[in-house]
Amino acid sequence: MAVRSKRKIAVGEWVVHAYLAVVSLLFILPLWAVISISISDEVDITKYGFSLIPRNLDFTSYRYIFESPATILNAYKVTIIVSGAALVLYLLVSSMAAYALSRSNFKYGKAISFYLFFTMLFNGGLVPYYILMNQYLHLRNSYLALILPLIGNVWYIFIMRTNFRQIPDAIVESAKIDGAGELQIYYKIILPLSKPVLATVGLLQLLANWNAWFQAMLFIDKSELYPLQYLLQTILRNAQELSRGFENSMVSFTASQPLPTESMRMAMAVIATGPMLLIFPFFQKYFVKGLTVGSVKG
Amino acid sequence: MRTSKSKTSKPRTSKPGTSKQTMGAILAGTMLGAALLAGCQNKNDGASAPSSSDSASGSAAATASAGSAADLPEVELVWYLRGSKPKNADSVIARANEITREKIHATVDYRFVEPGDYDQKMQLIMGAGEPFDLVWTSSWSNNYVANATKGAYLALDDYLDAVPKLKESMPDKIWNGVKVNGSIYGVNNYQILGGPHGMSFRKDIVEKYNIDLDSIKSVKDLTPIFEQVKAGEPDMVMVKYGVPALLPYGESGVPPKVEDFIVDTNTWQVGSYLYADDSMVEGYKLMREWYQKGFFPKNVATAAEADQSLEQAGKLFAQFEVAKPGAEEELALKYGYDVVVKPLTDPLFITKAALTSTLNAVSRTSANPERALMFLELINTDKELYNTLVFGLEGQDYTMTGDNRIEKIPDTYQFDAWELGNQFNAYFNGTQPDSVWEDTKAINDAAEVDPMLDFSADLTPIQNELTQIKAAQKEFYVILKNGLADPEEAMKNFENKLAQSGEEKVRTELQKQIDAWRSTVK
Repeated sequence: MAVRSKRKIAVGEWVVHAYLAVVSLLFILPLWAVISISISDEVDITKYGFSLIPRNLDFTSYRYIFESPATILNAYKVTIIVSGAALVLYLLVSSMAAYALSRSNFKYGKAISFYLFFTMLFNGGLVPYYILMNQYLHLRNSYLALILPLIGNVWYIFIMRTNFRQIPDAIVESAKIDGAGELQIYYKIILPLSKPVLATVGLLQLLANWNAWFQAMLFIDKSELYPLQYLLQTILRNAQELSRGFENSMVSFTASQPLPTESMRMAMAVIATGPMLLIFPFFQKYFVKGLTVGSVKG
Repeated sequence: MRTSKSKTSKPRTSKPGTSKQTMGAILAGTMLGAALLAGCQNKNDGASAPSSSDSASGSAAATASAGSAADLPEVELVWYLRGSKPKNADSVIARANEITREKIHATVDYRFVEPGDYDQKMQLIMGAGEPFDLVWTSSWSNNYVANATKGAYLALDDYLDAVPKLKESMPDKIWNGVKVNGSIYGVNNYQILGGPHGMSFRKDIVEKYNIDLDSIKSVKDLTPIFEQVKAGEPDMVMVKYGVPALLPYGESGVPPKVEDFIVDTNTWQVGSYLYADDSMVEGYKLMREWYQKGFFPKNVATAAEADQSLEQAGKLFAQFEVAKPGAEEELALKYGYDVVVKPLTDPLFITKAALTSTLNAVSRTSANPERALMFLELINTDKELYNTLVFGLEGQDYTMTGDNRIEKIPDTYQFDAWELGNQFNAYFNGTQPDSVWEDTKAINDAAEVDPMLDFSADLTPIQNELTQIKAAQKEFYVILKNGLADPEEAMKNFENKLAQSGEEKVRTELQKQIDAWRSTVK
């Protein structure tokens, strides 16, 4: 009996494993395809189409990109500064807000929660946003134009609030008795106790920061301030745009800038996503924990 | 310990005010912090912005004293251009600003917007009512007619009398052609307007296989040639993407059309949608045959048409081109090998789309429209300014090789000549023949004018339908023109989609407007 049931489980496990293997393949294959194309010979791509195993290894794309790495490196610098600064600021701002909101004796907690929640559902729209940033705050072409919009994410404030509420009041009270002020409690007690949720929120927010490009499109004209993702975006979109209007326009337009080849675009994608892929495993232990700590326990 | 904690927890409730205040303070602090940061940056921004333009214009200050327009107060104009910022742009712009400062007492802040973002960004800038002076606009990006209709651009008719040299720099048919609802809203960047469509072929291959290009009368005649070359050069791609329009255009000419709806200019009836017209379907069938015979690259469905890796690798035999004067020399420069260009259609007549394919407009929000016009006059008539902005600085970006001829230094400053002004003021580049501008002007003068030229449709009542039709076109045309699917089948779906998109409503509305226009003409 025991043996049989073990076997049953084994079969069940096989099914689950097979299923998970297929699912992970679905995730891995596109990534692999990107890498494979990036090291393929460009002529092979046009002649035979994409393939998962490069016919001829060819690192021209990478060589080309790193030949004049200034643009990419500068974009990296911008992205790192922006994602880093926005991450620190965001964690500070949102955890402070969340802590204040988590305290049951905060009189306007409900009203402010609602106010914050409201912004998740409704916003002023693109043009007012643009006017505010450009004409009132005069943030065009500044790092702040890239950073500020990233610290406006309300959703994680609520997740953190829920998390902070699970910290027993008694701990806060005891700290108070020991003479700690509110800021000290927040800094010395609440934050250390909330590492998993901070790490989780931090990672998710870092990913979002890393991938953010929209505000760069809106507020940045100077190429020195292009973040990585936006740089890639422009390179790819410019290629598409240049081809638009070629055939059907009555006049002829010759592009004055060379276009990136297919493998070069993929190489850029690899370069842009690489660091995030490396960072993720370090956060993973907190990540799993953090996902559960925010939830209600029985 | 434990008991003492729970006991002394009571005082907290006795003075709740302090903790509440602190809570509030934390929250307020976070918000204030953001505001303060914003304030700081504000200052930084203000301080850093002039420094970059200062370095550009500082050197010019010395030479600026004795200009003809010196009595005018100096202004800075803002010009939005579609294109990435070129290399060496700062030094080139500094030189351009020296010229403009001397001649019209103005400098220009050249704002380069990435082509992919241009439409959206300009919509925002104009929607926000931001002050700026000049903007590049066209029929195919940052739509000229739509923006003019919306009132984003200034009507230039009254201002043009003050800049006679600009007015005289191009023929009247151009000024008439760019009118929207009776007013001129943009200054055309004068370049080739007609010119037949055709194909270019690699010269060495043509010679190797002894191909008689004169025997090609229609794009259909290319099929056996491609078969022959393909058999001999299995490594080569015959043609980069489908060119179905060459067949109907070659047989019966380009039809007059409005918003891609064909108009019969004898009866003034709005006919079928161009991309779903029967004549076009013949072209699609030919492209299907080409696809099945493997003339296209394998990634034709996804490849960017402007991607030039095939040319760079020397693996492309034929390519769609506008067969304009000097095309062979220009293309040899672009591709790095000699080509022969064969026209496959008659010279096209001058359409509204061609006339509005590249213009510069003055914004409604401009504080100095007169000066903006003076600048447009300058860039369209002053060879030095125009060539500086197109080719850069002598020695740094190009070398003079003749009286009016330059050789570009590779990988230096270069901006799209067709965006800046009158292209006939450009230096001859490399091996361009001396006659290229004369020949082009001759084509322009000889070209017939589109009978629909004076008609400009008001698209507001059919905006939604047109958007949907364009989306359908975008979806199906790439399949149809590259022969990726059976044309009969795809056409059926395409026509259904068009019908659902409100094709009939658009046709009725356009017919109504054309009828109204015809009645005013008589």
